[in-house]
Amino acid sequence: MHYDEIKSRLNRVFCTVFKDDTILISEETTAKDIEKWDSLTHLILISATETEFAIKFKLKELIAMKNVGDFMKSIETKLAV
Amino acid sequence: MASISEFLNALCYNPKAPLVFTSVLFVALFSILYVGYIFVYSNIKKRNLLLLVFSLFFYYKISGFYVLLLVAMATSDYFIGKQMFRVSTQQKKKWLLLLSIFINVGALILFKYTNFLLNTFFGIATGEPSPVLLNLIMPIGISFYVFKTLSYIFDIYRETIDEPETNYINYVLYVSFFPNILAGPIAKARDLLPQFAAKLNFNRELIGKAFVLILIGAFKKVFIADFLGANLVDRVFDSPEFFTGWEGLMAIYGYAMQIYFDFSGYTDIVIGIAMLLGFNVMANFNKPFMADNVADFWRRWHISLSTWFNEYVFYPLAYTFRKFKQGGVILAVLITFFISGFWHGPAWTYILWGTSHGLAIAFTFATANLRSKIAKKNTFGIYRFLSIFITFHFLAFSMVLFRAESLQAAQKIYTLVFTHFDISVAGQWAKLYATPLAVLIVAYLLHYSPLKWNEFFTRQFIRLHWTVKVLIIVVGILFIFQGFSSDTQPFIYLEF
Repeated sequence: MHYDEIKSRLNRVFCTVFKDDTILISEETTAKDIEKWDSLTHLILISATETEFAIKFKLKELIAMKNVGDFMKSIETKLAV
Repeated sequence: MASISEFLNALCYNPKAPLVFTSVLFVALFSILYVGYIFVYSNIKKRNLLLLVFSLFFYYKISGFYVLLLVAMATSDYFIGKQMFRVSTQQKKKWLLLLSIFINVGALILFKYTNFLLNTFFGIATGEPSPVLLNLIMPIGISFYVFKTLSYIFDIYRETIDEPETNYINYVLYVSFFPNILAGPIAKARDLLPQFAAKLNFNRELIGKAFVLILIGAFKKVFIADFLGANLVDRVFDSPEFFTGWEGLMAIYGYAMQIYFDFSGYTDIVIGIAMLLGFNVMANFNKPFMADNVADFWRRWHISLSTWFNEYVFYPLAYTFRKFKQGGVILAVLITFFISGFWHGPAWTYILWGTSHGLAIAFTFATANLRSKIAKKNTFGIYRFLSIFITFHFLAFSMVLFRAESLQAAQKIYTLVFTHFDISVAGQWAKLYATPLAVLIVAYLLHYSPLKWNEFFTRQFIRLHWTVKVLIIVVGILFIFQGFSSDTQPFIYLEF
């Protein structure tokens, strides 16, 4: 899957989970940039992303992610396998 | 000669005379340490050795030979941590993680929870208390240093620490570091350990800030927390049958401020002492009663504990339950806060307190979208004001469980407020309790005052000429020691 398509589909996941159609993610986006993204909603986002791309994240992979860019790279790597 | 022997006796472990930060003995010993520290602080090895010796002595003075348990636990995790980097398979790493959890949590359960668990087990089985109880005194601070050392092992397992600590002195110093060993803030290994390997960066601003923090912390403790405790809160909580619902309500409002000023005052002193030594310990409070929901409160109250639970308990649980979506998150929240309540103490009051906070956060989470819609429609800040008001009352009323010695005692306070409430006594009460009321109002004003004010006064203090600073510090210390009385109480969080 192309990187831009991953970004577009991931953006839709963000909009659905945080119920906000105006969200526009970038590689630098972090939880600080999205009002409803906190420790409680984080795992809902992870679960929705796993369903969207039919992949599974390991706990260690999630801990290592610092921003949406890391998130997308991890999705890309998993889809390439 | 007699005075020398008295001084040497004062250095020995005495459970009736603990070495608290606000004691004359601590001030004297810390001053001696500091003089020596000035000579060695630029040499990392000598500096750390001096700090370790003082830290172990400090813990010995408070907990006697439990200092050996502290060293043994730090030593075991030092070697487990090193071994975790050496083993070749993930499975072996997991066994080492489980070994560390077994040792640390095992020690915590043994010293803190055995009698509670025995009584609960026998109570369920026979309806009677346990016929056998262990005669163990809990090592002070064990709940805190166990969390510190576990953070090191967890971070190695999660690969957020890149290499093991190879300096034994530095690791034992990290676990036993005297400023934060008794009641936090719970500094994580990845934050504090690297500081022990680095050169210190002292400057005029940091030293000035440290003195301001220590003086403010002591002021909070002596003039607000202890005063409210002795003159308002304890009276009602100890004998609720003599008071009306109005006085019960004022005691609840008073306790919210007492525990906040006690614990945040303690933390200010800890951060200040660490800063004087050149180390940075994380802040633990950020205007907690400004929170507009209970989840927000836990981002502002005892931050080092809540981030610890968030990283090492809630997150792995929520990850495990993530396929249940909202239900999974709620389940993880409830389990985390049940454990958090139990961590505070082996009593049903703490368990109920923790669970009530878990339920409140689950409510916050489940209603987030609805509340967000309401908040957007509200343009005058009324919604936010009401949110803070309701959250504060939930917190203050739940803290009754924290203060009461049993569920029955807590129930008496709740009954008092909800069934014997008579506002007509308010005027007479205000006359009788004019000073505690004034202190209570000052406490609330200080808590709700903008953070910028604190920063402004600190900046002004730093700018003063050193002679004026010394004068203010000396007058401040004398003023604070004048405030000491027989009512001076130990810091509340030392119980945990």
